[in-house]
Order: sequence, then C-alpha cells, then structure tokens
Amino acid sequence: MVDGWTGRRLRVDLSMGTVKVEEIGKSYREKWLGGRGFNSELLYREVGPDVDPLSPENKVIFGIGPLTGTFAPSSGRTTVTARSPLGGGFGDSNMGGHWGPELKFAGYDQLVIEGKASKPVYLWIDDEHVEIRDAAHIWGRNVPEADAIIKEELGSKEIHIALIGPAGENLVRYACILNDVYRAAARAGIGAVMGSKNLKAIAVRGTRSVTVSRPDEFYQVCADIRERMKRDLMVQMLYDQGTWLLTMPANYEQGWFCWHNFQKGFHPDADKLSGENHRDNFLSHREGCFACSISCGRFSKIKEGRYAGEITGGPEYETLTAVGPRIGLLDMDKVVHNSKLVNELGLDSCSCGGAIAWAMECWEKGLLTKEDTGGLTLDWGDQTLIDRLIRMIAFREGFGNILAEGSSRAAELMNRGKDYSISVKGHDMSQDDPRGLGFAFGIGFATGRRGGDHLQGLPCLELTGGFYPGLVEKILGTNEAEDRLSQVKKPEMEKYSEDLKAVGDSLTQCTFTHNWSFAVQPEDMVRLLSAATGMEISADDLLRIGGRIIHLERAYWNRLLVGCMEDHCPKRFTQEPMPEGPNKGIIFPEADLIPRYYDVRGWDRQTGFPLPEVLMEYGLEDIARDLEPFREEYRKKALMETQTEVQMKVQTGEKL
Amino acid sequence: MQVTVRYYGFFSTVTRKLYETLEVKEGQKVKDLIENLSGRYGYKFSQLCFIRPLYSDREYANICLNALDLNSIQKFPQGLETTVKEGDTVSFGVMGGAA
Amino acid sequence: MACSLYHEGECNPVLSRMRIVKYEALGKNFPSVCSQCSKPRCLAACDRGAIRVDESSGAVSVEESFCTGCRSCLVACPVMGFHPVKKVAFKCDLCGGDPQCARFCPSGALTFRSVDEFLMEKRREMADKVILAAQE
Repeated sequence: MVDGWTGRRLRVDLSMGTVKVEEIGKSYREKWLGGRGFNSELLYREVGPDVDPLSPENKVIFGIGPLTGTFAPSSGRTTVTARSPLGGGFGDSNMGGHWGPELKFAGYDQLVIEGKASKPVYLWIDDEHVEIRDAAHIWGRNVPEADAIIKEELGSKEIHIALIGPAGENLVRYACILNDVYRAAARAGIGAVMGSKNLKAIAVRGTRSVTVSRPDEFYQVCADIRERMKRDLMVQMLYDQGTWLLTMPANYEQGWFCWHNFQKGFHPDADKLSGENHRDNFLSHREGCFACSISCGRFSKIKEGRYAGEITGGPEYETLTAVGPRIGLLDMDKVVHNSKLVNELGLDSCSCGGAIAWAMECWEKGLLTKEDTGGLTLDWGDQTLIDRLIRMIAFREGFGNILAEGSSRAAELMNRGKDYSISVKGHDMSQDDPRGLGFAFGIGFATGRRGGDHLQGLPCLELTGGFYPGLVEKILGTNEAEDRLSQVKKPEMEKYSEDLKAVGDSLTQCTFTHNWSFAVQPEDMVRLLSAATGMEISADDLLRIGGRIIHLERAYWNRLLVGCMEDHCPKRFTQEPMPEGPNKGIIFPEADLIPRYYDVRGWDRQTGFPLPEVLMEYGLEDIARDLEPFREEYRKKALMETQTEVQMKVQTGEKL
Repeated sequence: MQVTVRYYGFFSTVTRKLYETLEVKEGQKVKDLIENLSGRYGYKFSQLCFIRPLYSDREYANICLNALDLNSIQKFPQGLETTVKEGDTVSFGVMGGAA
Repeated sequence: MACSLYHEGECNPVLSRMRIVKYEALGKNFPSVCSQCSKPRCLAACDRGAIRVDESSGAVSVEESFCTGCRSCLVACPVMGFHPVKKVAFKCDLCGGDPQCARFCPSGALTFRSVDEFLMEKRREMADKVILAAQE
C-alpha cells in the first residue's frame, strides 16, 4: 500500500498497440521524487543521443508526484517530457489544470507513450481500463472541438483530456499539448512529438483515492499553509489580476517590457495592456488549477471591435506579451484574440511570437523581401497579417512553413537574420529581458535545460524577494541580492531557485507558491512529504534532489556535446545596451556570471560538464561514467574554439 | 513643484487611476504625500501603504521612489522622512520589485 | 480536497460532499453542495431513519450505522454521495459548524453565513446601484 504515490507506471506502445503497468519502487521514488524527477530520469535512460525527436523511438512522458491530487496547496500540475524537436536536446513542459490529478485518481504516477500508431488514435484511460481508440474523426480539429467530441463519444463530461491541435498534427516544432482546453504544456515542442506518434489526445477518468500516511497531520499542515497563503498580499494580487499584474511594473519601473523583438524594454503606452484594464474590461472569469489557493488563471471576453464576442482561457503575461508587444501590438482585444488562436491551434505562444518577431525584424532591416515571404508584407503590429500568419504556421503553409521551424532554424534555413533570432540552444526566449528583469534570470536563460527559459529557476527572490524582508538575507546571506541588477550572489540565487523549482515540478506543486509568493518554504514541503508519504527528509536534502535532477538534465545535453560554448544569451542582451527606460544602458554581464554559476554548481569551467566527483556526490555514478568520452571530446572542441577566437582577435587587433 | 505618482495593483482599484501628476510644496516628505493621498482616497489607501508581509515582524511600506524600494535603508536612510524633489516618481504597490 | 480528506482521510473527489460541475471551454464552474433543506427529500426517502437533522445547526446528516445502502436518498436528491467501498450514503454535514470547503476557498465563491446576513447583502447590492450611483 503506497501513500501519496501510486507506485505504478503506465507504458503504452502505440506501434504494437500494447499496454503495460510497471512498478515504481520505493528507493527510486525517494531518489527522484516524482513528476519531473521521474520523467527526466526515464528520458535520460531510454531516449539516447541517436533518437530523432520526431521518430517513433522518442517518448512522450507525463509525470505527476506524491502530492498531486491531494489537499496540498496548488498540487494539480503535470510535467510532460520528451526529446525536443525544437532545440534537439532535452525538452519538458509543465501544465496546470486538472488532468494530472485525474491520472493519479486513475492509479498512475507516470504515463509513457512510445512508438507510433499506424493511423490517428487517442488514448482512453478509465481507472484500470486502458484503450487505444480511433481518432480519424477528430484529427484536424482544433482543441475545443476535439475536447467536446471526445467527451460526447465517451459519454461523460467529467473526464479530463490532454490534446494537441492542428499544429501538433503538422509537426510544428513548437506545438503544444493542452488539457482542459486552455491549460498548456507549451514549451519545447512536445506537442509535435505527440503528433509524430499519431496520438491526438489522452482522455482520463479516475475514481480511486490518493491515500496519505497520516491524514490528520497532513490535513493540519495543508490547513496551516493555506491560512498563511490567505494572508499573503502576493497571493491576493495574483488572484486579483493574474500574471497581468506584471505589465505595469515591468514597463514603468523595471524596463523589461518586450517591444519589437526585444529591441526596446519600454513603451510609453504600455498601460493599454495593464492588468487593471484587463480585470475591469476583459476579465470574464478567474480560474484555478486543482487544489490551488491562488487561482491566477484567467478567462477573457472581448466585448467590442472586430473580435467582439470571443471568449478564451488566458492569456497570461508571457502569452499576452508574445502575441502582443513583442510583435508590435498594444491593443488588448487583438492580443486576446491572438492568444485564443494560438491556444486553439495548439501552438506555443512564446515561440510563435518569437518566430513572427524574428521575421518582422528581418523585414524591418531589409533582410527579407516579398519574394521570401510569398508576397506577405511583415509590418510590426499588422493584426490582419498576424492572424493570417499564425494560421499559416499551424498548417505549415507558405512562409508559415519556414516559421514553423522556430526562429533559430528559420534563420539558418534562410541563411540570414541569425542575430535577430532571440533564442538560446534553438529555443525562443520567453518575453523576459535579463537587462531589466534580473541577472539571476539571465543565468537561467543561458544555462537552462530549455534555453531562453524564465522557468528554469524563476528566481523571483530578485524580483519580489524584497517584499519579504529578511528572506533573501536568510537564504543568501545578504540583502544586496534583492537588487535585480546587482551581481552579488546571483549564481547562488539561481542555483537555489532552480533546485527548488525542480523539487516543485516533481512533487508536483505550482512554483508560484514558493518561487513568486514565498508563502511555501522548503520546510513546508518537507512536512507535506512526511505526512503524505512517510518519507523523512531534511530541507537541504530535498533541495539536493532538485540539484540531482538539474545535473541529470545537464548531462542529457552534455551527451549531445552541448556545454559551455552553447551557454550564451542572445547577443542583444549581452552587447546591446538598453536604449531607453528605467534601466537604460544596462547589458547582461554574462561573462562574469556564468563561470561563477558553474563554480556554484560544481561544473567544469572548461566544458560546462558537471565534474565527476560532484556527480558521485549526488549518486549519479553511471552518468559520470557515461559522460567520460563526451567530456574529453567536448574539451578538445572547446579548446579549439578558444584558440580560433584568440587567433581571430590577434588578426583583427582586438583586445584579448 | 510637480511629482508623478503611479498606482499599481490594489492601489489602482482604490484610486481608479494608473497614475497622476501632483502639485506639491517644496520640502514635502514622502509621509506627507501619503497623508495627503489618504485624505483624498480614504483609509483603504493608507491601509494598503503599510503592510505586514509574511516572515517579517516589521511593517513594510509598499512604496518605491524613482523605481527604488523605499524600505532599503542603504538607499533611503531617512525612509518615509525622505524629501520629495521636483520630477520624482513615487510608485505605490510595486511589491519589492524595484532595483 | 479539504472535504474528502477531512471526512474520509483520503483525497478523492468522489468522496467529497462538495462537487464542482465544470465547463472548461467556457471558463465557468458550478459548485454543487447540499442546501440543508428544512424538509429534506433525502430524509423523507429514507426508511431506516439514517438521515437526521441536527436541532441547533439545522445540518442534515447520515448516521452511517443505520444506512443499508439502498440508495433511495440518491434518487431523491443527486447532491447526496455514496461511498464506493463502504457502500453507505454520505452527505454534507456542515463540518459541525465550520465548513472546511468555505474556509479554504480562495475566491470567496463559497461562504458560510446566516441566511439573513446573506439576503441583506444582496439587497444592499441592489440598493448600491441606485443610491451610490446617484451620489456620483
């Protein structure tokens, strides 16, 4: 009898049409925790360097943890992992909603999808009954339509469905998976992996209980944390405006409002997209994920203009900025409409906005002509064009086919505009400019498991940490680190935040409870785990599990010969000073911070590979062995690069 | 002299504005400004100004001056007694997110 | 999950007295919980006397030891619950006077007040539209 976890993995082979249930033993559970921990470990072991991301040998893995589906605050998230078709390396994403808990009630901690179905199918998991069903009649449908059809066909509206849209079916490299229609696991293109397997949807219904070891104590711990969260102003703000609360400070106080593909961080009319405007004129409903005390989810309704009457889940800050100011739009109705479009077609808004922004900047600078775009004129903020372009991307039509590859590959295919692809390791940046948002975030962008990702660590200690006086000092030893644009202790801050985030993604618990609001601390997670599962662990050891997961995910990249040479933020952040706004003149001092981050992590400065002795400390001996040949090869490669660079600088007389 | 005042989050709910320009006397301090605005917008405004964040035994002023956190003793040794100057921006409700 | 954990020691929506009917595509939710009727249909349907009304709080509850699992009460009112393992009916009993669902609802969608307090609040909302609007 397992408490918290179910101890069961469901493995579905779509090529053979087989379904297997495997055990997840106690020592594995306590080493990797669940959710992202389970997923990353399985991916490392089973999806090696020679697997093409869109081939049947890739796997899509859905993982939840011991706290998913319980009374623990904000315990509804699911981590989805696969080898990424966008960056070619490690890929994962995380979605909210209510799908994950349903998987737990059905009796599984993890779902692994392998192989490829010979024709479009969807999976139906109804407690122990698992069925692969024909999906010809929903293939091609957008997400809300497919959701409704499946619910009708299976005879129940109480099921929860994870779906891909047409973008996933067409293998757009940044296609996403959505559950409950509007909750997206968007980044890294895992929707395309699902599409490459001819898998349209996974519908789940579960009726079993999640048991906990000490119910009364667990109830009390959850109640204490929830009462604390009620008192937290950050939680109240997130409920009131959702993540839209960022728009005004991001622009007027902090200067990282992404305008025109990050060319600027400030716009005088940013208040058109204020959280206040959204709440007062566009908000139709506040939504919460499973068991969430915050409920930052939004639903928006457009009342006037050409899109009047449209209703959509979201948008949240990243989405609104991606299909908004990043591509030149400040009108809220257009932004909401674009968000709806992107969701229903199953596209990652960040990468979609990134690709379009790349194209628009190339157009602006004269690098793309009408011949290249198939007759389209790519003016910033042209809504008619943007609407059309998003659809072209989802269906890979015309110029949309190039943009569907992501801005990094598109720049390579067209052989121009590489500096305008604001991406890291092939992944487009989320809308967070380190020149304004903060330097710890910048470290995460450069070194993270999915490049360009604010959610590598979400080190809000430098953003909202000052609002909890004494907290940053307690964790890092000095309150100077509260300053976003200070370098003091930022590598340590990023490490701490990343470890904590990895733990949260494994438990699963929403990062907003402990990495934006700081109402939940590692000590709380320890108490929750203990009462729920009987697992006794200290807060430091819990964070070490997070560290272990980070080393593993790093090793995944290292095995593909990716290391310190690829750990770079886009040149725009490190070489172009902010042109105007509250943080005018700032650049991201990558060269100082990243080597220090390596030191803090225990990674080799010469290669960016974790040092073998550090891997041993974390119980990763087999990974240390795996990496040996790759480490040597990469070291030689890095050495040659440095020598070439030195030679070039000598030739051009540049300072060494 | 003129200063700009910005309202974020719940402050904008209470004041029904995102920002405004105010005419203030020379030598006015931040705390005078707060009193002035509380008089205009009601007790709810002053309630929002001073909060007790989690893990803290001190009150926290939910205010920034020129994008800097007013609670920072290094930057504002005089705290609420700091004098406001011509062209300053006082922001309410940024929640520690300033530099 | 507050409800199921509090009453049954397990986390499972099936065991919760409070259920939410969701409309994911519209972004609307309908919480559904016992109205604590003064002339309960569930009580009328029960031939075993398993359903009682607490005199002071007005809460209607199931006395498990008397329940034979006939499910007549479920037919009478769908806001009942039925335990899949114990095979007895369960229902909302207001947690003895401090409903936990309302305690932890983050949005205030669920609140527990006296009927009069609630009605007066609604009347005032109506009045605000006339009186306060006229003040501006």
